[in-house]
Formats: sequence, structure tokens, C-alpha cells
Amino acid sequence: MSGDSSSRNGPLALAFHALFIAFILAPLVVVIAVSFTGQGYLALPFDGLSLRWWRAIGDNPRFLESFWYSTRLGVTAATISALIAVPAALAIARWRFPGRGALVAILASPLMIPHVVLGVALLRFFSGFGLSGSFAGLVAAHVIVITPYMLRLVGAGLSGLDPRIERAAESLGADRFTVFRRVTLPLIAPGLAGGWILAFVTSFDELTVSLFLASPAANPLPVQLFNYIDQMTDPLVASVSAALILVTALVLLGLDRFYPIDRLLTGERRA
Amino acid sequence: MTRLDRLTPALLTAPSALVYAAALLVPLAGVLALSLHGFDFEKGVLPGWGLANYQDLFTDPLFGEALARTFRIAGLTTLICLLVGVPEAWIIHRMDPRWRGPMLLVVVGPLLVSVVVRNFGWMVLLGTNGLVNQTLTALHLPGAPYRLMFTELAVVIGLVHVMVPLVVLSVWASLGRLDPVLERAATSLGAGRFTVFTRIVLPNVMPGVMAGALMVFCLSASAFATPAMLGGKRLKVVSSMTYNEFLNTLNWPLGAALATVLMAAILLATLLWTRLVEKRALRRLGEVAQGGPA
Amino acid sequence: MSAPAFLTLDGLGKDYGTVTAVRDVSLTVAPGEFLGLLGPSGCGKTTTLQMIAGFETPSRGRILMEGRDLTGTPPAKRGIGLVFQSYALFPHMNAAENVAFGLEMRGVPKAERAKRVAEALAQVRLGHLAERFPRNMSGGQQQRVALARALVVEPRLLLLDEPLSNLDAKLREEMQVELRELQRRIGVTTVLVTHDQAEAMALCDRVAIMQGGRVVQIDAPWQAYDIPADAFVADFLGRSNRLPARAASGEAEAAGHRFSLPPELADRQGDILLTIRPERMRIRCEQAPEGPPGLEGRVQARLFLGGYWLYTVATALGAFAVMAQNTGATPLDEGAAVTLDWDAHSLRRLEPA
Repeated sequence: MSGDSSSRNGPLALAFHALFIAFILAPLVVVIAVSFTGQGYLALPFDGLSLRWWRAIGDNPRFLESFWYSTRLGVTAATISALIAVPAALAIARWRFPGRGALVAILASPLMIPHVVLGVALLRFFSGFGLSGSFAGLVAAHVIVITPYMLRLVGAGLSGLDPRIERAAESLGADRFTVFRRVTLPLIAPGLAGGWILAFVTSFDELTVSLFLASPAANPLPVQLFNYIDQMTDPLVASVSAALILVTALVLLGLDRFYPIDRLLTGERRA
Repeated sequence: MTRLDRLTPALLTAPSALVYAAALLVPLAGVLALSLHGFDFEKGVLPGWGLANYQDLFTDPLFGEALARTFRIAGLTTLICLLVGVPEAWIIHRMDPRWRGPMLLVVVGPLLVSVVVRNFGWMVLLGTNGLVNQTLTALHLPGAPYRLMFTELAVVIGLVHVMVPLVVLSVWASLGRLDPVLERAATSLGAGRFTVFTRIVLPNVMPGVMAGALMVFCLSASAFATPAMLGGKRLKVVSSMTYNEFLNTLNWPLGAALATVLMAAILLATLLWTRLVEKRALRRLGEVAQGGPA
Repeated sequence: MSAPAFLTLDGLGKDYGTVTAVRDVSLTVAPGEFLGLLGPSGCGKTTTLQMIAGFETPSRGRILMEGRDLTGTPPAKRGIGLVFQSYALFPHMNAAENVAFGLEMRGVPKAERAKRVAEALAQVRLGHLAERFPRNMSGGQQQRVALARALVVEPRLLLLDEPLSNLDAKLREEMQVELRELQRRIGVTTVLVTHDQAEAMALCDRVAIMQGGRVVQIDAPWQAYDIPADAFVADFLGRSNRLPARAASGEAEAAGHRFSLPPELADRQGDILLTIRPERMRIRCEQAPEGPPGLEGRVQARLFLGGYWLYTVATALGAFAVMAQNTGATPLDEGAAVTLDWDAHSLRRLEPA
């Protein structure tokens, strides 16, 4: 069905597309370019390529510490989110029960709540228990932020699953739990994996809520970077940012192999 | 067995309901309650209740300015995102399937890069000696170099960069649900390329456009990182004011009132949008364009 | 064909990379004719239709309409009416707006548009549903809107892509009658693509049977049915029985059974592949009182099809499908011993496919 002349983009459309892509890539390309400067300040263009600021990452343990802190935070939050989202998604997809509509709305609500408001609410709430500035507090906050994404992908996987397949397994003698373990779970595994990765990335990138809850002892990478830029902008920011861009690009390319990114972000199949 | 059956949904939803209650609903209620208390720099949060914080806010010209700026920036960002994102989604949709995947990856991939990193890129580009100004100066534009950083323009540029992939995605998803034969049907009846887009494609992807617009507006109005980094300390929006009250001035009740107003304003905007715009656009489409299982 | 050709396909072909969808299609359609492109999926019939419509560019060959080469003419300018299998009604427009769209594109003034839309909807007996949206219509109603939308612009050529295959059997039959009658009345030259041989035979003046990107046979449906060009056509159009035999001096012999050949095959010698339609065979319980002895066999299975019975009879020459009219008599039991016979002129010779 590859259409011929009737479905080609004209030169005007392609020019528009080129400008659009340039706009999207410009800030990322600039960050990567400027990270190779040999000078002590941010400037483009510059003379002489140098890995000076890439080496500087290693000399600044706080960025590395923050990187590992954010990784631990993301893994923990995404895993907890999966554990609470899968049963909830199952209940929503397979049962009609009182309060179902309200539950769906509440579970998706963090998408609509400004992160500043969420940060304020959790800071005030956690400081009552001494949890503000702790790993546990940040995990709880991130679980709230990322669970809507998890639910959307797991839910999409479940809605694409014909319930008659589960009934067939039951009719063959499997009990409810066996049906879940042997039939449902393997079939929603791609959605679950996609949801976990999206949740991890969202947690890893989260800035605003973390800003309210972070402390010198609990310092995710975006917060570290934000506070650093607030004080000074030297090429070290560029090399750290460039490293993040490259890691994200690698993850993305690997991910796209088995889970197309538009499905990851919309929960829908690619047309 | 039947009792267990009836209990199953409750058991399945219990963990998420508990987490949400503890880490979302109760804290949000706490913010609302906090905003009704007074504050004293000596004594901290006062026990009495009242609407004094809201009174203070709505008589403060600085707050009025910040509120207006918040919605001005959000509105402009939404408009630009629609004007740019909808055609881009259509262009990618029409590309050869070989190109579609990689192009979508390039457009949407930056969504997974931290906002801090992307804003930093714009800081480098928009600075007085940044590449944009260098280009404008080289083109001998009168008045170049311009002051771009710490302006509303910089904030809008940064926000469009963050938000426009969301519009592309939202519209892309709707386009995927559109029966491709419709375009051929219109063409066979004599419609040109432009007519096909405006008369057939656009009305059918309107739900996606509307959903994308609402999402972009809400996220822009509540954005913190981009206004803080590209707008600077003087160009306050409601969210950066809230941040300030909580982490610098430490007047938490006033900060809570700010947060409540921001939340209420966004809720109101959502409600109005759904009522006025979406209903009209969706009325004729009904469930068809929403698409069931294809 | 004595009439001048309205549409000519001349050596038409289409490749997708290394895959050839349409190999070589040449045919002509007379003005007002209803031509069917019939074949199994993948035979190239839909690609051929899309090339006529202008949505696919031919890799080779030409399409002429009234002698004018259509190459390079965009679909919008070809003056065609197109009906899709999925109907492709615009979901955001009601029936009248759907039908009006093509007129609007042609700049027809509003008043005349309204008049012609009303006429077109009345023509397909949908005048009362003008305000309905497609999602609130049955499949048959949507189908008729699609037809009205294609016809209202008074196309020079009507193209139908499997227009009835989404309808249930009873409705499909009704629509066949309606479509045939409408096409006769308007007199628009029509090309139909279908995989349903019954539909093609019911609707078309002539059918072009396609296989592997080629036209195997073009004939009036009843002629193609009666004298199939090869084994593929014989199997594709209706049911048929194969009868491999040895011919010698006007007679044929197979597995010890001898029977006479029709006069046109009387001079054949040696191996010959014969075919015979199930409804041309006779089945009875005992040997005929006179004439040559019939072929003995046993009823293997029987299907009741309302107007007739379809028996599968096992014989020394293999299994035969035999149709017997339902006369109200008690049917033959499964396992019953029977005798088959036929008239020599019912036999056809086949080129092996």
C-alpha cells in the first residue's frame, strides 16, 4: 500500500520539516559541541578540541554520586510503581465495580497536577514525619509522578488482550493465579517493560518535585545540575549534559528495536 | 468463591489506592488547609483560620503580573505548538515508511532528555554572545545582538521545544487511527492536497489536536524549570513564586495559597476548554474518531 | 467487441521492488459496459483498479480513456467515481454532506448541489436519511451512500472495489440486484473488482478472470462458466469435476469405464483432461434401463442446500460432486450404492493449469 505520487510531501513541506528538526536538535547539538571546548568558559565557536571538561566529570564526584543516586531512585520507584499499577490495571480492565470511574481519574490525576503543587504538598506532608530530604520521601514522590505512565502502558497492553484467551485458559483447568502467571503476564510483558522504562526515565529526569524534597544527602542528578547552573555555567555543565544526552540516545536506540517509541509514549500501536 | 470474586477488585486496587491516598490526596488536602492559616516571621504558622492569604495575593500587583504572565506564556506556547506541531505530524505521517520511524525518534526522543539539559542548551544558544545572536549580527540585523536570555521570548522558545513533541505525538496517534482510504476517497472526488488536509484530515484528528493543546497549556502554565532557567529571577511566574515562598521566604501558608490558586486556575482552564472547545469539535465525530479496537 | 473501446488497458504492469503485482494486463471496456475483474487475493486485480483510479503509477503499459492516455493525470482529474470496500465515508460528515463533497470540489453552486444530492440519495432510496452520520447507519445504508457519493458527480467511469463483501449474504443479494439495475439505468461504464465469483457472474456483462498478475480469460460470465479456458478458471468459477482419461476414436476410457466424447473432441487421441459441472451429472439408485451403462459409485457425503442436494460420490474414477434438484423426493442416504451418468456434450476438455 505504499502510496505513489499522491502521498508524497512537497518541497515546502520538506523544508518545514528540516527547520523543525533543526529546532528540535539545536540545543542538544550545541550542548554536545560546547562540551569539547578547551577554554574555561562557554563559547561557540571555540579554538582547539579538548576532552578537558569530560575528564573534569571524573574529578567532580558529586555528579557521579548524583548519577548513581538518581539511578537507584528510578529503579526503586519504577519497580514499586509496577507492583501497584499491574493489579490496579487488571481490576480496571477486567471488573466493573463501584468507584471504578473515580479510581481511574485519581490514578491518572498526577499528570494534571502541577509539579510545583505536588512538591509543596509532599514537602509539607513529609516534614511532619522527618521524611523530607530522605530517599524514602523521594521514592514516594516519584511513584506518584510516574504511576500514570505505568498504568497507561500496562492498561494498553491489557486492552489489547482478548479476555476470551484468559477464559480459554480457565476452561482448560487453570486457576485464576495460574491464568495470570502463565497467560496474562507474558502477554502484557511488552507493555509492562515499556512502562517500566518510561517510568524510570521520567523519574531519572524529574526536577521540580525533587527540588522541594532534596537535601545534600538526597541529591538527584537533575537537582544537582539545576543548582550548579544556578550558581555558575561553565563547560562542566556541558560535558555532564552531553554525557546524559548520549546515554539517553543509546537507551532510545536500543529501546526502539523492541518497543517503538511512539507506542511507548502514547500507548498506541504505530500506524 | 463468589464473595472472593466480589472482593478481588478491592484487593487488586488496594495497594495503589493506599499509596495514592497517603502520598497524594492527604498531602494535597494539607496544602489547602495550610493556605488558610496565617504566618508570622517570628512565630511561624499561626493557628487561626481565614482567607487572608488569598486576600493578600489578589491585592498584590506583583502576583497579578505573574498570573497574567503565566497564562500569556502558556497561551502563546500552546498556539505555536499547534501551528508547528500539527503540520509536522502530518508531514511525518505522509513520509515513506522507511523514514517515518527514524524521524519520529528524532522528534520525540528529546522528550526523554532532562528538561534541565535542554534548557541549558537554549541558554548557550540564546546568550548575548550565543549562536543565535552571532548569526543575527552576521546578517547585519539592526540592533543585533539582542537581549534574548531572561525574556518571555526565551521562556516561550524553551517551552515550545519541550512541548511540541507532545503535540506531534498526540496528532500522530490520531492520524494512525484515520482510515487512509478516506484520503483516496476525497482525492477521487476531486479534492486537492490542501483540501484533503483541511476538510478531511483535520476534522478527524481534532480530538488529538484538542487533547494535545490542553496538555501543552496545562504543562506550560505549571512549568517551573524553564521559566526559572530561561526567564531568570526577575521574570516570575506563579510556580516560581510558589517555589520562592517555600524555599526562600519560608512563608509556607502564602506559598500554599499560591499553589492552590495555580491548581484551581489550571482546573478551571481545563473545564472551560472541555466545555467550550472539545465538545464542539467532538460532537460530530462521536465514538468513530475516538476509535475502538481497530 | 465491435463497439469502440471506452477504456483500454494496454500491457499494464506494476512492480514493487522485486515483487510483480501485475504482470501484463491488456483489455478493453466498451461504453456502458459492466466489467468484472475477478480473481483470488493477490492476483493483481486491486492494483489494476488502483492504477485505473490513478493512485498507483504503472511500471509499464498505458491506460487510455476514450483514446486519451491517462498517464500523469492525477486521480482528482480523471472523472472517476470510486466505491471502496470499507466505503470510506467521511465520519465527520452526514450522508448529504458526504454526497455533496464531490460537487463542492467541482464548484457546483449551492442550490444545484442540494438538488443533485437529494436526487442522488433518492436514487439509492436514502432520501429520508440525509442527515444521518455514517456511524448511525447499517452497512447496507453506508454502502448506498458511498454509491450515491460516487455517482452524483456523474463520473465517466465507475470503479467498484469489493463493494459488497462487507455485507451479509441476504443483503448482498439485494444490493446486487439494485446495483445492476442502477448501472443499467444510468449507463455508466463500470469496472468491478471482486474475489466473489457469484457476485461477478450476477453483476457483470463480462468478467476478466485474473491469476498471478495476468488475465486468464475474458468472456461473458455464462460463457466463461460453460467453456473455461483452463483448469484454474474451471475451479474458480463454480464447482467442477476432473476426469483424466485416454481418448481413442471418439470414445474415452478411464479405470475401465468407457464413455463417448462430444463431437468436437471426436478426433482426439491419447491422454486428455476432461471436466464436467456437478449439475450436468445425473444420479440414480439403479442402472438406467437403456443406453450405455453408468458409472457405479457410493454416496460418501451429502449436503442439503435448499433448492438442491450436493452429493459427493466415490467411484473408481475418484470422487465426484453431483448436484441433484430438490424435487421433494426422499434423498439418497449416505453409503447408498448409486449410478452416475451424463450426456457427452456436457464434457469439456481442459488445458492443464
